Amino acid sequence: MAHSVKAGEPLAADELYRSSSPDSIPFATTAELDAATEFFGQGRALDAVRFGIGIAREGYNIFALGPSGTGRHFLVEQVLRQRAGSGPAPQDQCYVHNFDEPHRPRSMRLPAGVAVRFRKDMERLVEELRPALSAALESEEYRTRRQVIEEQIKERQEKAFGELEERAKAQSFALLRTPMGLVLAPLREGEILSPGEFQKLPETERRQKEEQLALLQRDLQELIRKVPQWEHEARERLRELNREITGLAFSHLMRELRERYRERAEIVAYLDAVERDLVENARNLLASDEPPAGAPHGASAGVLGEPPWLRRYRVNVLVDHGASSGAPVVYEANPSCPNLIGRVEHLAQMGALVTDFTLIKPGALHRANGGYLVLDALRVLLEPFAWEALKRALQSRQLRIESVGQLLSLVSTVSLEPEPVPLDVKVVLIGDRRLYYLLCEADPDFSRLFKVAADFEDDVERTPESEADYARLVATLACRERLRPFDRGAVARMIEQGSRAAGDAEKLSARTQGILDLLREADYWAGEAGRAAVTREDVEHAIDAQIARSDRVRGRLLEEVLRETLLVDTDGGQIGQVNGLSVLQLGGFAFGHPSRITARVRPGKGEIVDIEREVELGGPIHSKGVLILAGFIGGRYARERPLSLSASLVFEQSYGGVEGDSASAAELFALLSAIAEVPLRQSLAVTGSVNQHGRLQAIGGVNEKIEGFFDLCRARGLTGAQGVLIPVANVKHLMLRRDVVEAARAGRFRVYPVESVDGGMEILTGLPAGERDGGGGYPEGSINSRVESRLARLAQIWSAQGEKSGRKAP
Amino acid sequence: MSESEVFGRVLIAFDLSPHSLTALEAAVEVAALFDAELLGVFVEDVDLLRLADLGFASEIRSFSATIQPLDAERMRLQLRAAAERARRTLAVSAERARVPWSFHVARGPVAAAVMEKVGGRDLISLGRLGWSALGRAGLGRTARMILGAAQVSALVLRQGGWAVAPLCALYDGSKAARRGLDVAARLARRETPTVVVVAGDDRAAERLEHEAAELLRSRGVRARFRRLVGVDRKTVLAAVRAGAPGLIVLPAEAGEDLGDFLAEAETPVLVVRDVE
Repeated sequence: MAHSVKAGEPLAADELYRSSSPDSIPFATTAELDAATEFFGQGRALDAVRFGIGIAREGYNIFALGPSGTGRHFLVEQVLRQRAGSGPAPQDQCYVHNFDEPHRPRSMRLPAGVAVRFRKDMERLVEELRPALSAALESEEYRTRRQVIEEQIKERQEKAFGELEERAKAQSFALLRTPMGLVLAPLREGEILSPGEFQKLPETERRQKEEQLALLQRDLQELIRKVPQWEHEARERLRELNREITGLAFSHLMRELRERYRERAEIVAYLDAVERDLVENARNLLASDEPPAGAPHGASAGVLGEPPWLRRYRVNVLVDHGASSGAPVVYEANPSCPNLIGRVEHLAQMGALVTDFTLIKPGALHRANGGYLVLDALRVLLEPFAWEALKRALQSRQLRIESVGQLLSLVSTVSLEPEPVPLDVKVVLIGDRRLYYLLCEADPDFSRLFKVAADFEDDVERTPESEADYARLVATLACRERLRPFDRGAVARMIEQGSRAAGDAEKLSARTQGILDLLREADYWAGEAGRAAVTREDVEHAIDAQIARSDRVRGRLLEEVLRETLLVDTDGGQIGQVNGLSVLQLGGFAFGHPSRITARVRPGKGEIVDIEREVELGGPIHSKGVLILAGFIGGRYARERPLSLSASLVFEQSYGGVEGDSASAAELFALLSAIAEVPLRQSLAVTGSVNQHGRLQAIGGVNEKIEGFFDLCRARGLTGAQGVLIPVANVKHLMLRRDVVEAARAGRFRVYPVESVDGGMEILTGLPAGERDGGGGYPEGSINSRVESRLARLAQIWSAQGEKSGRKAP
Repeated sequence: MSESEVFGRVLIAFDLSPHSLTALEAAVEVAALFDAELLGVFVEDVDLLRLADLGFASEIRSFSATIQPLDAERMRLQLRAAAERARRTLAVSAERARVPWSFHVARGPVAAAVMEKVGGRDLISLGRLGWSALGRAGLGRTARMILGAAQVSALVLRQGGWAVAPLCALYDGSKAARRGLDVAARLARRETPTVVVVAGDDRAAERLEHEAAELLRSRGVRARFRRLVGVDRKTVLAAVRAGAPGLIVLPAEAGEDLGDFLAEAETPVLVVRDVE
């Protein structure tokens, strides 16, 4: 388009907007199309994601970078699901009690679907334990054998004490019990001797009695010492009996389970441990809720309705893939540290926090293990410790559940240390480009862990093929969202809007989110209008409504200009004054706004003062633009004499910051007008940057800028003399509003493509710019001649002043 | 016979031995059931006091197996402390069951001191063995003496708790047997007791069974019946001892010494005597 443009002449209406012909749309409505593609213009990113997924090497995780709204989430998830669906379901993940080290629950990975079956089997086992044990302990065999042991110990004691008692009796002693022990009392005729009676006994008999008593007491002492040992032996025999009987009681249950899982060595080993533990602690099953030795941490009466020492036979299934087909694709919307790596929950009990392995909860990495995990990069970075935890897991290829305190080594008292789980997961981070480059620069681990960058495009080349793709995208999205079909006029308008969103008539925006929003809103308006299909009018309506919902500030600014609170002329001529154009971005809405730029000159030492910069309202790029002006003026007009000029430039009534160099052409026009003392047409506005050779260069937001000035002119009345000067290089970006195009078509508003400062000055002043002749001068009356003459006069004045004051020429 | 008249008081002679604690548990329950007063008796055994005065006797401690010379003063203090513990134990059990209670400390030979406290309508609850015969089965010397000398109803138990069901009562038509059946009906509650009818011939047995059934029915109790016809007392006792897994309610004949039977019985026995 740009090649047909003639600099200095207003553009034809057709050059202000690149239409899409409905006739080129090969269908009546989108209903005729199949849902074909949603990955519009993202071939590069698509290839990168496919590569990242396909390569099964360490560190080949993916970072999908690009602006939001380009369908990163959707594309990544679609591609992952396509890939995941073809693979096998990964293993289930569960935790079981560790009977050797209760604080380190054992991790178990089982084939998909086995974990839940195993959990149910263990639940059934626990249910059956009590009746099986009751039956065993109430069996005649057990009771008899137990009674035999009890009787044996009793008999042993009775026999020993009986013999001693009989021996004492034979020697006329009685065995009596005191509150603290036993005594042997001398008897006579069945009665205990009183002290008096004892004293009456002959000396020899007394001595004999005392000797007999001493012997008997010694034997009795020996006997009493043996009692604890006998009781210990009896208890040991009873324990042995209990082990044997409980072992028998559980053996058929355990045998059944072992048989069922005979191919799973880890389950069989676990079942062996369960059986040993059951036999050791069997009586707890029938007794109280008291925990046995080595019960889980903080164990006591069941907080969860079951004694904790019974809960240790449970299976905590963290991830069940029984119903899954293919590898998991998990998106974690809240990637906090515990949500990523899992956590160990606690229960408050009697003022203390208690836990056991059944309170281990999975994180997103558990759920995604063996598959894919999608995360928003910014959210991961915003969550405390989440990024470190994620990196640690990916680096070690192990999933270790640790609290934040443990991660930072702040907490030394650890309640549980679940056994780490081997990790095999592909992580896809989604974020914007700046974040990606920041991470590359700031975190050396990042590049090692996320080797694949999937860079999403903002826009694509507008060609007949891409337009056709775009139409298919509209059809696909309309179908997916269950919208009314879009007729070819609506699709053509969508394509045009795609270019406008890209800010380039030769591009189409790849931001599917914006497209989708517009489709939904157009569908709404079609519904409001009672139409079965969405038409071009509905799309227009949706676009206008979007603008109307957002343009309060624009309206207020325009109002203030119309009320002349903000001074912007749209007719007449002024020296050193030009209408510049700026773009304001508020949320998702951008609009153009005209500003008055003025320049004043006087003799000086060759300085051009940027007032914005002096008061620190101008940004560096703006300052750069102003300095370029000095370069241009000096280079063109003061090649052989000093530039004895002092100029000041300002954005009038600007109270915020000014950034960018898109006003540098306007500033140059104002400055040249001020130097040459030639008025500029105020019916025109200018945008564009300028280089040191006076060539106008492309700027951004050209459509919004033109529309901003157009809105003001229309409000004051279009005269046909009004228009905007833009760099020729920006012509290809033009996708102007329909009303602007119509006004241009009617000759009531003009857009001038300008190639150089000279061309721009000619349009703005109506005077020829003039070119140097053979003598090196400019033609009389031309702009350049006037500028050069004025600069010469200023130099003379400055030189004369310098001589008076003794100042050296610059 | 009104409920309050079945037993005048329930006397528990206890010395904190495991058997006597079981006897206390049973005494409290029976006292509560029959609205009787609970009378606790602790006897300071004069034999021990006398022994302490001997000067050369020593005590072998039952836990540490150390030998300590017996000292009269220390023995008195030990007995007093034991009596206080007994009183507290009784008080706690009786208060919990809301049974009126009293506690007496007597001094003398244990059997004589207990017999002094017991009256004809009273029920005496005894552990089968006291402290005086550590580790031995059978009936203790004191218990045997009390049961032989005091012709009162007695509940005799072994260590390890007591349970009524399954209850077995002997019925021979005597006054003691009728009283025993009345007691059995109360104790049985919702259980179905077994009544062993003892008679000289079948006709008498049938009559006695009918009589017993009527008596129980008036108390709202149904029973299973067995008959022992034409057998002597010794055989009857042996049969009952062998066949009864729970409490045996045994009517005693006047002046009968049941010491040997009680010594061999594995289950709790309630000996019921006729009250003139």
